[in-house]
Amino acid sequence: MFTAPADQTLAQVGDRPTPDSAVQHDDAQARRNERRRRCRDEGSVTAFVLVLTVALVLTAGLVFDGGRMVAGRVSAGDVAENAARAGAQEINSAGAGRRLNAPQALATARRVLAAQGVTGSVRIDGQRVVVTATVNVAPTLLRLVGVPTRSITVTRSSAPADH
Amino acid sequence: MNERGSTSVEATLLVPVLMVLVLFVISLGRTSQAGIQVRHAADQGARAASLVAQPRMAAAASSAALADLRNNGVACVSPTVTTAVGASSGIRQVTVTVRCTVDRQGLSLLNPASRTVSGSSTEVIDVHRAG
Repeated sequence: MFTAPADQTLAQVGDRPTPDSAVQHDDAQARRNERRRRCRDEGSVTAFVLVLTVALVLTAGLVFDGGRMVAGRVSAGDVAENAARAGAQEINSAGAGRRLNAPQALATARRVLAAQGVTGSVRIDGQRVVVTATVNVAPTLLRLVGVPTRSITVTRSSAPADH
Repeated sequence: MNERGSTSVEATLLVPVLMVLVLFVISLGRTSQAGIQVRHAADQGARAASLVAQPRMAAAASSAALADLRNNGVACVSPTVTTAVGASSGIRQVTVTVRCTVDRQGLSLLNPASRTVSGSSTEVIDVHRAG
């Protein structure tokens, strides 16, 4: 990459006087060896740097897109929690103990999902409101190596406090 | 003979380039870390705000979010917290937004422009709450 052109270097090597043909022959052989050696060696650092650069860019992609996926998981969990909690607040307080108002709870949890712009599903499991939220995260740097959009699904549940 | 050391010269010239690349990866990592931290702080703030009466929401959100950043926010400097209350399709909710500047310590070789990250979180305001 940063070596001088071959002819120039060889001219300097062959500058000294050559008394007889035997030495001349050796000199030519040396030159040929020199050229062969150089050809083998040239660009080895460049290849090394290329491989290292690709590895570093992939690392950057893992760091950045991995972070985005963690953030996506956190926000999906947050919305699912919100919806479950809002649903679990729909209770019938009449009579002894707090009972979940199941149809109201379903409707409220679904409204929270819609209000926060996240797709998901809601079901009632006994006294518990179970919400599954799905968030899609599209990779940026890692898309270059064919990582597809990932869909992250998180399930959270909530129930009326029992006291 | 003339060629001896050319590899070292190449390596010497390329090392700064590689170092800048490594710093770039570090700065990317720190930016995502700060993004996750502000988001987490906004979550904590919004949950705290959703538990109190409206006049005290901003104070509750601010103290909870800043406390969370003090404990976890190593990549985040000079944070600010804003609180907004709104209603969407009949659901009353509070949105807390946390903003901060990404820590640039150790990245002076890259000389990055000061970058601000923000994260916001929305919580449904509790109907049956104590205070």
